[in-house]
Amino acid sequence: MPNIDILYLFQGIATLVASEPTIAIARIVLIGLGILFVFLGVKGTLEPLIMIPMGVGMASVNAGVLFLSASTMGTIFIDPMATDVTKLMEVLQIDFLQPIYTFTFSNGLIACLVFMGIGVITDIGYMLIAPFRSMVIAVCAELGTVLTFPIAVAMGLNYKEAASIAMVGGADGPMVLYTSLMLCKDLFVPITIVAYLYLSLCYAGYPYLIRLLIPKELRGIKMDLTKIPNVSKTEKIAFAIITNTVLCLLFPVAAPLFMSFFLGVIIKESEVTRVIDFLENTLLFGSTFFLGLLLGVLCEANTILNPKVVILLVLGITALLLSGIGGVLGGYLVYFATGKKYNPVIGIAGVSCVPTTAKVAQKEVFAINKRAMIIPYAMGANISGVITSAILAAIYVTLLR
Amino acid sequence: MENYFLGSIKLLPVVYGVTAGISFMVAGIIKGLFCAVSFRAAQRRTENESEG
Repeated sequence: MPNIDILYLFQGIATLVASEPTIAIARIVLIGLGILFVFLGVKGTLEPLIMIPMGVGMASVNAGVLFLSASTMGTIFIDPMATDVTKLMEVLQIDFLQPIYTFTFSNGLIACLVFMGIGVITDIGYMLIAPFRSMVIAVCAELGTVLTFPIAVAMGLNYKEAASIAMVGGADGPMVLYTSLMLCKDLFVPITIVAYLYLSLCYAGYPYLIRLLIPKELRGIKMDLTKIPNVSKTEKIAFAIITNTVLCLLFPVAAPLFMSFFLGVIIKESEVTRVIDFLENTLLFGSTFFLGLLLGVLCEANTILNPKVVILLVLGITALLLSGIGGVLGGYLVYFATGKKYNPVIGIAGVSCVPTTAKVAQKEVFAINKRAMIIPYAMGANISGVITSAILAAIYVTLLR
Repeated sequence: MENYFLGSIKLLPVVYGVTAGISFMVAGIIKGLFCAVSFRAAQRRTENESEG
């Protein structure tokens, strides 16, 4: 019987023993964190659609490290650093998630697919109810996206990194992914993970901000739903195609994002049921699943052990907090401009986490006044927020690329 | 480093200004569409009334 080296047999453990203590500890922490994400996702504390595949990927990739040669350690999941054509062809045949990463992730396609799905579940009609008010709120709710940029620079990040982490203030996962892929590929993994982690917590955190900034009597203001105009399909389609063309003309660098979103909107309004069903279910949930899984698999100890991660964690929460405050200020602005007939809670929906922030706003209003229905206006601000976030992403990418 | 930070501050009004400008232009497109649709509807109504 040949001699069996137990450590050689169980290479995940062998690589743990052979690697530097920092890497070994980071691997163990990330395995634990992955398991925690799965648990919190299943419990519903964090967004399960993203967190379950991300957690499983994170735990697996940090456990499944093996000896690729006598001197190198790695995994057979993915190699995000492979850029040389020969090396890439080799990796594509070995690492099982590499084809998905290379052909859908590194070029931003997955962000566009998710955006297409968001477009198809978005009723643009809400935005057409009160377009200028919705836009005022949405622009104010970009406060975090704008102010975090110089704060990040002051904390030592370069312009491209600062703009990418500032986009977390837009509270739109695909947008953060797209911007960071375009501007700073070396930090896109931690930035996107920070973004998705915090976005999952929006539902829990924003109600406290609303209660802190808006007194009870204002939170219960009823909105007049009789003034909501009927918006025809033709108007919605005309708006989508004109806006898409104009925005693509202005910002070609973000044209894939604009096209994906408005294509989804137009498909929804054109009532092509089979395509709607495909985009709404298969494409949106399929893309979200692989987005989560790939993000998890990219969370290798070597990638995450970056001193900038702590700064990114601080900046991410700062961006979301400032955007929330900006949104509420926007709500107050419209409240005073309309002679105190507008519920300022709608302001929080300007932060474009569709439809989470609109739901949060409605929930907070219901808690005070069971007859106050604000959801159509909140959704309008929410969708306007998606458009302003896309515009901001386009400006950052165009200016700093 | 200081110049770098000042540069980012100087970029703020440009970024926020352009975002606000384009966003309101989008809102303007919506308003314009509404006006065009209601104008056509009113025109049709007048035509129908005059024919009737």
